[in-house]
Amino acid sequence: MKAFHPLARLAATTAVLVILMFCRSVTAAAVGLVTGLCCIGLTDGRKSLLKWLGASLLTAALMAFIDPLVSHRGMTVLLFVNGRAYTLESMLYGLELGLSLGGVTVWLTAGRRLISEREMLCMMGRLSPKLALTVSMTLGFIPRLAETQRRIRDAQRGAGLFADNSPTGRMGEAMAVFTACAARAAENAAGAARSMNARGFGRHRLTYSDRRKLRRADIILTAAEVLLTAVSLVFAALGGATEFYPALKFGRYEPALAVICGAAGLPAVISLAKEVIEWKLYLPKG
Amino acid sequence: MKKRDILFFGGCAAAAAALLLTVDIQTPAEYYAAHPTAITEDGAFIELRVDSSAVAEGGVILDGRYALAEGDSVFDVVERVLRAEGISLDYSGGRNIYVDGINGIYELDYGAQSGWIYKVNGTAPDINCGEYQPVSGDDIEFVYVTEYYGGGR
Repeated sequence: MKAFHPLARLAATTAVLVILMFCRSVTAAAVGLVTGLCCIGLTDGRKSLLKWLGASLLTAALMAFIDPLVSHRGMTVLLFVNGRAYTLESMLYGLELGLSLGGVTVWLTAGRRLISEREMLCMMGRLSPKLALTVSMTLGFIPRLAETQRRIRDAQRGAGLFADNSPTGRMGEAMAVFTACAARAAENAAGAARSMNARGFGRHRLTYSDRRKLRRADIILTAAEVLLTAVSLVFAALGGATEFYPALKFGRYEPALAVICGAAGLPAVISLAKEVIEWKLYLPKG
Repeated sequence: MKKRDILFFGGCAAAAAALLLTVDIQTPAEYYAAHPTAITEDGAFIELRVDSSAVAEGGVILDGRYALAEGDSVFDVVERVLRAEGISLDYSGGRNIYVDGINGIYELDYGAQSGWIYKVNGTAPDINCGEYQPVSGDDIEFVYVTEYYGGGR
């Protein structure tokens, strides 16, 4: 999706995220998750797709299992657990929550592939340098933490520590690596803050070396994503989303919300698929 | 497998088993057999009435005498009875229960002051139905009103 301006890419990602977070619709959540997984598969490959698919389905299953234990609303009682109703409607609500959570996580990951940190900083830095810095640091926190943990673990193994491959050995290694990672982050935090302050991070508006102008295609895509987001929020506010209690009932605009969510995510999928196909076609054969 | 691993997994299994022993899982049939809504000869009971006559589409949804279990709040007995009778009940809140709708009739459906109130022996208590504990013989009424301070039309 690099052919589009970063603003258009940001609009595409944000649209799906907003729809997943604010429209309580089972079908839209499922569609959002599927389109996000398609983006991940196209950018990171099949192995990553399967990993994220497994994680998302596990999250949805866990939420579906746990929600009826805390919420006893709903008419269709499956079991009574310690005298409290374990209902089908609560289970479906938990499933929808899990699918939405999985979809949001997948799209945040896909978003990092679609928009680089520098592009994000420069887009937001023109408006609010502090906000740009906060968003960039927040979005980049988990990947940086994972990378740091990987490097510390490799270094410790290289030094001969934690050669034990037993389950308890692995757990001990994980705790030691996490402790080292947290200590390293704490030690580096003060120095990093001073360095960033000296370079004026968060104080001055940022300029961007690639002064790509917004083309017609970028404007059309951005406007379309904003419109889709607005329409989905209106539909959700008008009671069009799934109602779970006291009995499951699909809203008036349920099919429309699913279509809108799919339409919001489709430009990213199509663009990425086109790039993948082009790469495969242009690589020399033989 | 090392001794440490055996001890660890053994401990996890013991904790899981202890947790499962504290969990009582019953099918609906088993639950209603153990917690019948029908009254017994010497058992405690309440008179329960759910009335939505204030609205044109409504009427008396439920009216009868039902068993009251020890420690039941008004909400506990109403929830159990309505579930057993297949009447929908929608509510919110954990500690402070608020009944949103019964049998498809919801708050605000018939005006800004419309909704469900409950009375015990003809008087609306000051506490929510999840906290009020009735005694045997109490007359509990859930009434749909269209004006909260006027007692409904």
